[in-house]
Amino acid sequence: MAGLYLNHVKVAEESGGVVSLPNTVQFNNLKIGETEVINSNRQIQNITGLKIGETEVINSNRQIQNITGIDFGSSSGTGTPSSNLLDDYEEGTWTPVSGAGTLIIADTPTYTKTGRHVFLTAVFTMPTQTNTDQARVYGLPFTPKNNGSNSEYGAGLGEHNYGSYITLCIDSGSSIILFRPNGSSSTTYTNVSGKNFRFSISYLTDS
Amino acid sequence: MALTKQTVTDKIEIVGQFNHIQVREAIQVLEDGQVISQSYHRYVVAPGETSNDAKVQAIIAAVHTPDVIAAYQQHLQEQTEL
Repeated sequence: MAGLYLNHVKVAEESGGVVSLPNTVQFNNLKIGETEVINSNRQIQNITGLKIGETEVINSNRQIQNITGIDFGSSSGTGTPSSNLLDDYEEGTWTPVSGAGTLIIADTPTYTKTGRHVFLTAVFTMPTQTNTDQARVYGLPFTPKNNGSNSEYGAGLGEHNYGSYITLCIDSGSSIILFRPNGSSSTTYTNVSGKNFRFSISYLTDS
Repeated sequence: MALTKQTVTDKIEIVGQFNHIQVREAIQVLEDGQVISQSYHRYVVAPGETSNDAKVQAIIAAVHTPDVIAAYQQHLQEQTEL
């Protein structure tokens, strides 16, 4: 039996950007060529490219793209931002920079941003210094959200050779990593001179 | 088939109360001029800091005014410790 070819068949109505399928149209076991794209459970499958309007939202590698977010909450249709909206994901690298001298970086410092949550890792040795200023490391990949309190975002230190308890933190609203022995007052370049730190930090960002 | 590598600043954002400048660099590997691989590197420029990128320098000049720099320094000084 020769195949049936349908061209420009209208099966949906569009209103305000919403496409509605009439109840009378059913797709069960729909094939395009030899590929079943709607299975017997009415699930879409085997899609290697899908456009909404002129925008390709599923590419030829079966990756979802060009979407503005995934809303895990109930959709109100008002267009207002939702606290259930996941609207960003990105991976990359960053470069820690000492405010005095040149720190030595081991491995490649990485970041992962999921929504407003930033998770970063780094391993570095602070420069040998006799500078008595507050020790600072710059170069964060995203600006920390200003929640009003300092030291709000602390590090998980995997290992260090400082010699006693110390933590790393980011001041709320700044883009600086500080070193806090005893969990309190910041320390100087001299005190962390030549010390190695292996850590991760999680923080929130506005962007 | 020629492989080349380039770094381009592909996103610059101004965020937060103190106009922090967020910069994203795309590190691209190209084959005959077409991008075949890409990764990202990021950094933030706080008020009072500099950048080697001319585009970023122009934005610094526009948004990191003396008043903004002073307000950011004030903010840092107000971060009291326990």
